[in-house]
Amino acid sequence: MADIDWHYFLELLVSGVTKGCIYALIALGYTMVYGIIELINFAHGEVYMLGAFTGLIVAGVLGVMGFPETGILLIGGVVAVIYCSAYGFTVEKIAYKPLRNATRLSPLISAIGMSIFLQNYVRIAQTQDFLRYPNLIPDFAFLEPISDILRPSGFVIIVTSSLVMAVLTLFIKYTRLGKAMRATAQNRKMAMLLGIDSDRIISATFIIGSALAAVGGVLIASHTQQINFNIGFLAGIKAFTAAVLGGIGSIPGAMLGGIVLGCCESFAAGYLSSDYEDMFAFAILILILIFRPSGLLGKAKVQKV
Amino acid sequence: MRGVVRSFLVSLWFMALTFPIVVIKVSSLDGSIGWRWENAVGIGIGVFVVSFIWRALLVRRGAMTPREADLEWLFTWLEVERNQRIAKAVGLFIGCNVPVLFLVSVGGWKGFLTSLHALEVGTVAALVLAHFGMILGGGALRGKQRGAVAVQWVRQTAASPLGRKGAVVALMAFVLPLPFFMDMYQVNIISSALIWIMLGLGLNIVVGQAGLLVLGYVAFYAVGAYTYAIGNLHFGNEYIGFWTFLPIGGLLAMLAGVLLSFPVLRLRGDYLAIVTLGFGEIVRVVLEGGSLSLNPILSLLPTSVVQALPASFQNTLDLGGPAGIGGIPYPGFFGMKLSMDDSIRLVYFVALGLTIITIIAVSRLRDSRLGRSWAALREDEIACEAMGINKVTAKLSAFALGACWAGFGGVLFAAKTSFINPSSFTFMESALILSVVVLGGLDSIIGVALGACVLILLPEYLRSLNEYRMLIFGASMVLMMVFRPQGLLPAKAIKRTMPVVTEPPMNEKAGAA
Repeated sequence: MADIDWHYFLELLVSGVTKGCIYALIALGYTMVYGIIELINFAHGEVYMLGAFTGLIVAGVLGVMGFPETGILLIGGVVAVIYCSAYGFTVEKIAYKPLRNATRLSPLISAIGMSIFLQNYVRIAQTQDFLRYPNLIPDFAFLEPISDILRPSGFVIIVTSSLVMAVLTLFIKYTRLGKAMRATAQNRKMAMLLGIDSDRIISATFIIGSALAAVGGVLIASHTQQINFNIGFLAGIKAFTAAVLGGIGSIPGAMLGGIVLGCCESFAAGYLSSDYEDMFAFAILILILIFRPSGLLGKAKVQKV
Repeated sequence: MRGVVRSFLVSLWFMALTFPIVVIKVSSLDGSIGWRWENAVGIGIGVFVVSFIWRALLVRRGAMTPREADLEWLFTWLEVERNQRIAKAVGLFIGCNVPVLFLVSVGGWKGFLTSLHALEVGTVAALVLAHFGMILGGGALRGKQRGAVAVQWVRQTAASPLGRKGAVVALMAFVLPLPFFMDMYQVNIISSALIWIMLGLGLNIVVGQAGLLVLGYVAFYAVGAYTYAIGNLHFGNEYIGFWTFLPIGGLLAMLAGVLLSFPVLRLRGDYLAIVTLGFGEIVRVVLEGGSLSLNPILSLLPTSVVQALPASFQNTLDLGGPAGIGGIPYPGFFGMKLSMDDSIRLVYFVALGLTIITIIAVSRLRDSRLGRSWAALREDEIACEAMGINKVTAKLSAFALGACWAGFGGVLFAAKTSFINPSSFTFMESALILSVVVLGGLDSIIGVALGACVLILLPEYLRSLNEYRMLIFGASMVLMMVFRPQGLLPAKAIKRTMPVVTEPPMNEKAGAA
């Protein structure tokens, strides 16, 4: 068994976990929205892309004003989070709220329309070329010895997303709003009868989901160092796959699903063929939906008539 | 007054929201920053106006009360009949001139005039008709009801069988000689619109009739196009050409539809959407990859058959990769040598013929037993099963038939463009076909045809609109879903009710007793 290249294996594992963390951050938004209004929010990937763009623009402005790099990253991240929350809120109000009582197909088509709209909005207002993202993440001295496995950006991604996910878990579990969200996800009508304002909860869900996507957007952009207007499409679909893999509607499931998907992709690209890297996500998605539609951590729903 | 304040706040919100993306532009070359304040002003004014219209439309749809929308004054004013007519006329006037305003704001007056040059018969006619309708509306405003009479006439003609036949004859008399009067560029564009009508009608079977949201429809289109391209590369000669590959392409696409539908039979609406999207992407990635190993398929065939195949067809199949495949011939016509122009005309007639066949087939299908079972499936899956309809057969046949038309369309597309590559088969294409169906009206044949014409012809003629094309599609998909989910020309639900035996209402009985 000596011929296993452990170094290569570790490298793939770390890059898989890094990618997986980002998928998990985006997948959380999908899963939370789906849990509450049973809608695949196609525009969610676009919110992630908007996060990356806002981060880039803020970084550009602050860079001209001469801020230090770490400050730029922090401020850029915070501004991106605020803007994306506002976008998520607005998108929900425009494209989904008027359709609350429509057939299932209508909000889905509306979501696809919103996604196309946002992509082209950025394409027209900004550019359709790839933009270079500034390198804002400092080199950490303690990462020197393992720098060929774990880049500083990867380290920041893993640490930040673990933190964010931990905070989210606590938030959902212990705060009043979090409890209200869980109640609404379980049974919206009952929650309304108990005095929970479901419109407010839905807005809050979109805001939180979009904020998470924005964190993901800023982080991945500083990792891959280039963005363009349609990065959101593929990332969105993969994150959705991650959410389904973990069991849609389940928050720990989305985190697990994201990391499993990231690792699967990374290993498949490393050991099989990198040409078809993007295909694995879809193949995995189709396989899960056939064999275990409820996902890894989801509960099988019995449909009652 | 409160309404004004509210719209003002909304426009402030949107100005703030779009500020970083729309106003600031960081140059990717030297990192310098441009501030485009004029965009913020434009968005502010635009949103201010739109927010009034938005709320008024929401009130009309019944999603809000005038009080909630802060539009009580408007709706009190509208209670008077005369005011309603004024509002209608103003609305028509604005509605007719929005495209003009938009074009002017995009390209300036000069751009507008050049685009007017490019405007061809159809679009000019549409604009003139719209203004004509507006004048009629104005006539109605003066109490003469001329507009109402004209509308009545159109409705009556459409309702009577003779009127319909007349309309079909008139339409045929218009479209048949068309390619002999127009230049070849125009004919090509109209052929592609016809292909899109076919695609729209095919997707309409799956989405509109059976209610299965498919987002990877373009994969079947690609199967058709690549069947002809690859088949021609390996087997093409003077006997085997377009007419051989047309049915083969349709059949292969159908096969792909059946293959895809097996894993998704159990899935509900939104999962189905995402899986078919994934399928479409897989097909595209495979096409871009450039080659496909044929060994698994060939090993199933007897050796004598394999040896009879051309050498280029053994082991791996060359798909052309991102560069695509070129040199695809036009359809042949009984072995005659056709000039370039005649070939383009032939493509037009083939497209027209196929479209007509599609329209007939789809409308016959809709009233068939199968079509009824699709409608039942769409309305309620569980109730449909309870009525004894075989869900599996219904779904499989919807997928197979829908895909089949995409296959035909694909073969025709390959023949028309004589060159194909994977970038013609992206998710955006799928979304476009879907928006053709949604814009026109799910399950409405005339609606889908109209949707295809609007979405394909308008951007072709209005080049200055091209950059905004996808933006407008996205926005119109959202707007259609919010304000007119049934589409531009919705299908009429067939109403066949049982004769009701009239009984006196309950309370009267109680009163008599």
